[in-house]
Amino acid sequence: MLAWVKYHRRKLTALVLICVPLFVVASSAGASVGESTTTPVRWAGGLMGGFQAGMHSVIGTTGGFFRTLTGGDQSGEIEELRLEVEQLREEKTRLIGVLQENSRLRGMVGFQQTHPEFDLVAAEVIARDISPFFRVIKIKIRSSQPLEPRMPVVSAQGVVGQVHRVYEGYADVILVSDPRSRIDAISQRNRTLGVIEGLGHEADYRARVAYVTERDEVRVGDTMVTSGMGGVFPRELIVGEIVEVDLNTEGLFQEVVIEPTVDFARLEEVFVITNVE
Amino acid sequence: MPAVVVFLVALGVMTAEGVFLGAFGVEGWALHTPLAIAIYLGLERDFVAGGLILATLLLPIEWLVVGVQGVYSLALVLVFFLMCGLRGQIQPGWGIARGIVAALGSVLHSVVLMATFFLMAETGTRFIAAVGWKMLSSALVVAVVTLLLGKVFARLDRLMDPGRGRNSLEF
Repeated sequence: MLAWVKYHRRKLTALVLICVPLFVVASSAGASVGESTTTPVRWAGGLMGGFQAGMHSVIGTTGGFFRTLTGGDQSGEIEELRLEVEQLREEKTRLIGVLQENSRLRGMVGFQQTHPEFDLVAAEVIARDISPFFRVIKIKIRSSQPLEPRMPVVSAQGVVGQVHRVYEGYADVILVSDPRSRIDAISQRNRTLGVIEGLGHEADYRARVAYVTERDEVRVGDTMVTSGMGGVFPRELIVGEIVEVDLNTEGLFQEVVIEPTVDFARLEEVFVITNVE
Repeated sequence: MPAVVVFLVALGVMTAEGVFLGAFGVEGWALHTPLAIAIYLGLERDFVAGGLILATLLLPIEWLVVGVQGVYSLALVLVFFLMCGLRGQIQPGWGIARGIVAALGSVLHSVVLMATFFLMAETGTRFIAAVGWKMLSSALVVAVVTLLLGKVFARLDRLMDPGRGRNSLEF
């Protein structure tokens, strides 16, 4: 047997390499959002999430480490004063950080107060996907409440995306601008319906509003909110603002591009809504 | 360098990339490290050793990429096969020639992704456009990252196996 394996090792390696991705393709949900995970995958994903969360906290303290290194012991009045200025600058920087965090948390508390009907689970953004083609964030869940795939994820600014896969204490969230994302939306101004689909290929996080007919009147600056029709998102959550409208004379629909209201580049904390009917 | 160390270093590099992208909010600048690692394995390891390391990395890569499941790693495997075919035929050392090969590998990866999305019923033109839009910039990024990562791996190889890659007379 061993001799047979040794003799055919190249063929077997090629077979394994081809079969692993094909098995993953066959056992996955394809290109749709929301995938259930088996227990081993949940634990393995949780382990990797823990590793990433550890790295995330290390990166957060790196700045302080370098500041400590460059501070050093100084002698003389000028050096003391210089040190004091540096300390004050550092404190100022830290204070600005605390104020910003405070402002963010106020925003989130405000969101929670304006939407008391939602059960919200807070989560921290710890990492992102490592491919340029998709738009995914990884979150660390700050609660023992179980999450499910396709649960809506929001921040104080608006809709962030949907939960894709859930691991032990961590989850993957597909952002609004990912090509897999499709959200039923409506214009806040004149109730024009459309489906917001992620583009994924723009340098920023833009998405398009599909199925806006020639008759529908949409303008640059219109705000698009969730319509609540897809069954995933509750109604009236802000998704984005229309930034481009191109009346396509050849096709049936207009080309409408929106800029999400959430600044995904600065996203640190999010909420998962767990009680959407 | 033992296979286990290659596996751990590769996993560490890919995990760190995700964390850095998250910490600095620069998702569009993804470095495509899985592709660089597959190219390194194809060019520097023999088919069986490199293939088995890549096979063990495929599932973690899928979890870190969070793409359309299986498609990304399938394209990665094809790039690895191409690199194995080129192994020994391009100049040794991580120079411009290998950078060009890495860029070609990245283009092949993107083409395979687009072809697969074209064939899959549920993926639309948005998926193909998303890959196509980033194809050339990815090729450039992969060329640079592969050279850097290749040099790091070569240095680690030398540290752990000083005789590797050197022709010496034995008496």
